[in-house]
Amino acid sequence: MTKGLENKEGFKTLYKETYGPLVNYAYSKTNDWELSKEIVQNTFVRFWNKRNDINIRTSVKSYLFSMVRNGIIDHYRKEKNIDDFEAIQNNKNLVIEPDEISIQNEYKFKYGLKKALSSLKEKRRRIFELSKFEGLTYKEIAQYLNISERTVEDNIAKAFKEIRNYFYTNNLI
Amino acid sequence: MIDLKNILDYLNGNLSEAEEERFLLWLDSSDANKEDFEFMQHVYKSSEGLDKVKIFDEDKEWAKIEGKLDNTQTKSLTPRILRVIAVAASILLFGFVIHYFFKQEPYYRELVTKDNLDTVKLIDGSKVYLGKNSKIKYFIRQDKKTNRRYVEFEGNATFDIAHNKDLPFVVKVGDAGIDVLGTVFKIDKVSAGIGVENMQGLINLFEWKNASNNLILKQGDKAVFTNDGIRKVLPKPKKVNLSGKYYKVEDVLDYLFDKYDARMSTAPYADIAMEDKVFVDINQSLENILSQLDTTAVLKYRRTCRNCFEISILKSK
Repeated sequence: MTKGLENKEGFKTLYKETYGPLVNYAYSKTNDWELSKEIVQNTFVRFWNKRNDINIRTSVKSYLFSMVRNGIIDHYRKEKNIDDFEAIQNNKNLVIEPDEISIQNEYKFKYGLKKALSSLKEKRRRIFELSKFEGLTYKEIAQYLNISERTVEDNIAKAFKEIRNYFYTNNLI
Repeated sequence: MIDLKNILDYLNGNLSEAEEERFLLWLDSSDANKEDFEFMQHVYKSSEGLDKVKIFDEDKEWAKIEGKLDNTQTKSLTPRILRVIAVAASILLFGFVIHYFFKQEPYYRELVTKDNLDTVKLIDGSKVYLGKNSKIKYFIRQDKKTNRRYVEFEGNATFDIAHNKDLPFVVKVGDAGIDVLGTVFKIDKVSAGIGVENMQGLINLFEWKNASNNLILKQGDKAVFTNDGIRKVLPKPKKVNLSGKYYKVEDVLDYLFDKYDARMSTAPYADIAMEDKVFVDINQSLENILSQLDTTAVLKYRRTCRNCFEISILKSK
């Protein structure tokens, strides 16, 4: 039996680890959060129901990404918007393209990073976001938050350290 | 000493040439340094566009799907349960077939008569002529391991058993048993117990729980099985024909030799009193004449063939 599918608890763990990245990945194709969640949930239900018949040659998580991708294609086919979507994805084959793996891995990493950031203290997270999302320099952040530039540097460094610990702790790397 | 800040400065392009050269030396000095740098670089690059990533409460999302899984899990298990049931049914069916075709004991059937008569023809060719208020449980199938033909019986019937020296025919009637190879006999329920009359061949009447308590019945023999044991029923005395008159023994013998020639003889050294007078009606069959003499005179004779008689003693009483 594939790891994560031996029992419901294992499946729950798999679900919690991959649900977020899968929905975000689906959103990148659909630009619709509700549709993305629906496709991912249906994917998990179908995956659980067919778990005894599935022969997985890749990792379970990669397989789920492929299922979601095919779920999106099926959805657009039903909606007869296939032509539009085929511009993005025109391959329903289960074989995963190398760049697709890279994209999927990126979504796993970004979701982990976002979760790691959410675990940071509010002030540290804010400094990190101003630096990375807003593109402010350390000096600008220091002025904006009325703190020393040294404090900004320290908080950015500690934020990276905590993020790395989060990834290690949660087996994300 | 290179720290996290130096990595960030390198990624931000804030290092001088000398600092960058020192940093690159540090980077090449160990795999652990490279891993740290690559992770930082990955985070650094992934930070861009991170605002578009949405995080979810996985426990809450799991609760939404768990209900669906419960339902679908049952469905998904249904074929498996059906498969298990199918396998179990197949095993049962297989067992039944094995049991049916390879059963050691034959199957039996019962027949009961009330106010009617009936005849059962058994698969071995034997026939049972059932009287009223009788019940028979008889075999309808036998296999290679069968070592006897077994019948249970209550009531009245005549059994005409097909001969088979390899398969004795055994009738259990009450606490008694009758063991035969091939013969004709009659069973009657009598007030004292079970009456058995052998009409042809030999039969062995025995107590079912103690087969050594038995009685061999020859043709014409009758016996009764009761709680007290097996008792042979003696034939009723023959009726004596009282008609007739006294003849000299010599005259009687002359008459019989003259009439029955080949069937009639006297034994060597026979004790025959020719001058004695015996009472007999000579106008009847040879058997009846001898039977009458047996009661009115001193007579001893034996059969020398089916209907042949040899007299050894004949004189008046």
